[in-house]
Amino acid sequence: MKKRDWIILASVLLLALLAFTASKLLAPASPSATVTVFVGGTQYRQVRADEYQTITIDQGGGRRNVVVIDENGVRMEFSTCKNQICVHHAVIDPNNSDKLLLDNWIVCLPNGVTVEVTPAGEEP
Amino acid sequence: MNTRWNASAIAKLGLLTAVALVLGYFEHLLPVTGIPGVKLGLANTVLLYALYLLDIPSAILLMILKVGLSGLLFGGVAAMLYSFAGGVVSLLVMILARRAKGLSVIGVSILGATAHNVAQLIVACFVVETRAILAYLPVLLLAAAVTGILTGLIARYTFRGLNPKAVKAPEPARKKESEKRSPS
Repeated sequence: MKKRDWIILASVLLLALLAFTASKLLAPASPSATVTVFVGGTQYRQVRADEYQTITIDQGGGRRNVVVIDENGVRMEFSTCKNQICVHHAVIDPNNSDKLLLDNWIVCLPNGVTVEVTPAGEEP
Repeated sequence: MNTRWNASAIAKLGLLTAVALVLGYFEHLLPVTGIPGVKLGLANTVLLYALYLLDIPSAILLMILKVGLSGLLFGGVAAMLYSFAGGVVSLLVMILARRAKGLSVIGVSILGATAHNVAQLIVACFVVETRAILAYLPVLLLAAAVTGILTGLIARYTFRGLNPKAVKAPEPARKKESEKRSPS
């Protein structure tokens, strides 16, 4: 590898670090762990992570997602999407989500549904 | 694109397209990463090959064929949109990076991989506008650095293994004729 190759590698890694810091800083803090469901760019529902429930997001046109919050954590129970990546995503434990590096999101790209799990913060 | 499209060039491009498609499918079968959206980008080595040992029009054609065909065969329309965005931007960056001085094929490969991932993320941004995309950027950048180095290394040793003279598009017979003519 030449010198400029290393410079490029270093700048890509630096950019990664910057983006990581930015996304951590932008995460909202709340007194209790919360689960926020977004559809497209807008917030669909925000609930406390200790309120066990099933949230069904039906966007019509055969696009349906089911999010389950129970004692195991938060998971995507069902999705009509093709790739099923969101359904295979691991269960997120709300008490542990800050320790999951970057992994406090469940994203269903085909249906445009994202679920964010935010751990309990110091101050709202 | 003038007289270059002779039978040999067409056959070579067909072969490269097939190799790119098979590599793309092959890495689809490998559960290497487990991170959605992250793949090895083995097909990019073929694109690098075209860029370095053939020419820019061949590389562009190869990219379009690869994206179009693998979209039809394996992906679907949505997947095609993502890979087309990634393909166009990464190829553009690699063409420019190839011209820059002091960059080896590994640097070009890292840049290409980064451009590919960032372009796909931007498309994803239009689909779902959330911070999830921002949270995913570091993962994809890190992945691009790793996969870029790997595919760059593969490309380097492939170039070395294949004798460039043997695989380069044969210069039209004119050259030989002129050689013959000059001594006479």
